[in-house]
Amino acid sequence: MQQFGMDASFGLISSRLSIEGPIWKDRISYFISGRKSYFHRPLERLNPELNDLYFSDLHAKLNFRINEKNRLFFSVYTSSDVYQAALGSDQVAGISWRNSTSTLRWNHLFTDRLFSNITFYTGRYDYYMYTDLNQGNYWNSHIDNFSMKADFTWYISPTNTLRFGARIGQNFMNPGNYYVNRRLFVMPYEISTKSANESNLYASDQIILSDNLSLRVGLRLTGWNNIGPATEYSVENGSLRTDEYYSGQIYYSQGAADPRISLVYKNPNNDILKFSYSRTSQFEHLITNSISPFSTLEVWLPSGPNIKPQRSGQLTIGYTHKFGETDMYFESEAYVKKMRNQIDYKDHAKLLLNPFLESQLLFGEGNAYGIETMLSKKAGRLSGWLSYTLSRSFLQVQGINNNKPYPSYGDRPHDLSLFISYRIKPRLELTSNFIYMTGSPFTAPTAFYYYENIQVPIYDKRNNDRLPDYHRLDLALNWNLRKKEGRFNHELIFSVYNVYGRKNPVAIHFNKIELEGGQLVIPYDFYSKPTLVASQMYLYQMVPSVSYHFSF
Amino acid sequence: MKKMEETYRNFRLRMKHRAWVALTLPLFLLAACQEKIDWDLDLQNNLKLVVEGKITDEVRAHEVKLTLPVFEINGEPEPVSGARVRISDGDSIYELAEDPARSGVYLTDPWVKGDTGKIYTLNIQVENFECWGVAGMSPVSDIKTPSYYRAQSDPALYRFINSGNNDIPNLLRLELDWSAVPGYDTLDEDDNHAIIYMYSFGPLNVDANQVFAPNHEQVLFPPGTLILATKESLSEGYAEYLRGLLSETSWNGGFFDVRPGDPFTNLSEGAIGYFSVCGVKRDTVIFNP
Repeated sequence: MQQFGMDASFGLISSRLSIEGPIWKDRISYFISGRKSYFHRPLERLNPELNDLYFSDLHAKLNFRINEKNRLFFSVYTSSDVYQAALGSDQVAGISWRNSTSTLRWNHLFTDRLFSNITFYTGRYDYYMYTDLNQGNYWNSHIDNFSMKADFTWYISPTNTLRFGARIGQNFMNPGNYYVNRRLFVMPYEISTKSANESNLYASDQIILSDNLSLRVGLRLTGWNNIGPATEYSVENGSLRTDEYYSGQIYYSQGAADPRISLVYKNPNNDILKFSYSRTSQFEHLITNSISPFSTLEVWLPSGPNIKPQRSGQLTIGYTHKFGETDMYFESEAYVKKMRNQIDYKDHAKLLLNPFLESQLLFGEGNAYGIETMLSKKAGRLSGWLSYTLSRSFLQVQGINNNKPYPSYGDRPHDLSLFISYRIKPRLELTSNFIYMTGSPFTAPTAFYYYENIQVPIYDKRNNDRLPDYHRLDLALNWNLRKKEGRFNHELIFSVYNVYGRKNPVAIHFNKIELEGGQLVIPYDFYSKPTLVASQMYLYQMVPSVSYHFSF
Repeated sequence: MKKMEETYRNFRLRMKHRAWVALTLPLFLLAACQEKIDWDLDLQNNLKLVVEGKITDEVRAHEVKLTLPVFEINGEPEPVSGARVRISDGDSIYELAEDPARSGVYLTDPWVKGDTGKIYTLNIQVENFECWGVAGMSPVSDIKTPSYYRAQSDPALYRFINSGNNDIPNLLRLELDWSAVPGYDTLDEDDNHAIIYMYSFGPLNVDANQVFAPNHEQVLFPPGTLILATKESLSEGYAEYLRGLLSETSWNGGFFDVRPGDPFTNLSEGAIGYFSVCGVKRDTVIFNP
């Protein structure tokens, strides 16, 4: 609110710029920030069929101090990620992700001990898959929401703080419709969009019970209503049943009461013991059967007659120790998590243009447990941390893996990272980051068969194999160019991603042939049986980069 | 000079016309690399009967092929001999006889013909194992010439482009033979013949992994190529089977990979493969662009 400021960074693949300053000193101020990538041009030289590729975003914020007790905050955010490429001779396909939100918040001080935030929020997220840009054919799914919430914080006493509030919101979801050039083809039906309203009440009380002990208890109540117009399908006595609901009709209701509690004990020897339990309910579901390391196909569905809310409960016990008067800490946390109504998919689930999308889903339970440890040094010329996590995560879904538990895609038992920052000179700092993780599980064939000379894999168990372990080392050198004290600050950052060029596979395939030049492609000629090879796909090896950053 | 051109052309053909498709797919192919690896699969000797059975609306001896899975990549499937194979259309039961020249291949009598409107049941008995498959026939549409383009890598050659899902569900099988085209007639059989498949699952079918499928080899052929086109109709079940099969083979490894799984089948008792009943249209042309 006081003075103009600017912060910018220019890199080899993208740049960002943000500015802020007063409009009416001590009353109204603004903040605008944007990013844009420009790696499209060099990549186009490598691949002439690349049509467009960029990401960009813009964030603007306005702060208005009405008086000592009232402030208004207004912000808008929009982002767009686009990829388009030629497929074949005259067809251009692509994907884009678009996001836009706006928020209006009113901060009001009732007394010195009670204040509130009233927030109006709108948001929309769009996912586009263009099957033919020239013809204007695309598939789109989106999720919109509008909500209003009131949050209150009441400092009842120095040892008791109560937070409470309420929220009402309306959600609209388009699970995915295909929009085609109507001169060529008319879609015979539309996939029913879904609407639901959600209301929440919550309260959380933090009480300092003694010098050593504090307690936080809370409860969140949720009411969920699915609202027409909508078409819902179900299977009744083996036949498909269709139910039509009129506009505004509440046709399905659900509720949840999610408690949480945490207890923190601190002894004079700088030891902290923590215990917590929390339960959460999720009423909106991302439906995707993609396991691609590059992108997922995104369909959103609300809870409803065919999908129960996903629920989870987590128990955590933690311990923190500070080593004397040093800046070194040891932290450890063990957790157990149980999940219900987890979503998985039928084999080759048909998720696009399927009016009865829920028929492709399978439901089950999950459980995860683990222990996380971290040793950190938070200040000084040499700082950093060493962390290690031992964890497991399993799912059990009727209809998958002979109904037996199987490792989830996120099951990576060992996760180690070492971050070190060393200030070589007052203006020169070297940082290194080493990461090691067990490879992700994946489903590998257990046999093959032939159909019209096409070799088809046979699967026996879900996630029966693992990718090789993932590890890499990144280095960065930050050179602060500012020699004198002042507002203007600038620095050069040299960094190298994956210094030793580790090939970390993201996928293993068994369906390609090797051409005489060594290229790996999918066979297309089945005059005789193609000789398949196993192949791995990995992302970037070593990537050096340099960027310039300034601010004032 | 002519000799050099011929040598060059033959060299190109020994490459089986497999010019690598220029990078078509997205950022990941620019950022990602792939390489051949040795990978030890945990192959399970879980015997299942593999069935490739098909009846068409043509008057001919129709085939049911029985094999076993292979427990190594590129393994040679073992035929299943001595099975009792029958097909019923509700009115008649056809007993299939094993082809003496091809072990594991069972043939109907040569006057058998499939019809739309009938439901066909395949019954297979092998020792103590018995399984069934039930299928019906959808009508087939006329053959449309697929789009073709001059190859960028060699303007003397052409390639077909899959026209996508614009037609009603069908499978177009193109048998290409350029062994009689001068200059190509001395090549190995594998180098002057090709079989390619084009699938249409109907305009209402959109599979992200089909749209963004990985690069496949190019099959390039010269003018004068003899083309035998066979178009088969796909019933809903057969289309679902082939969609699953392609998700596991030709569409696998692209921008969108889906969770792996065995393709849908209409066979009971854990047998795999598919028993289909198809309407068929055939056409033979000499390719003259």
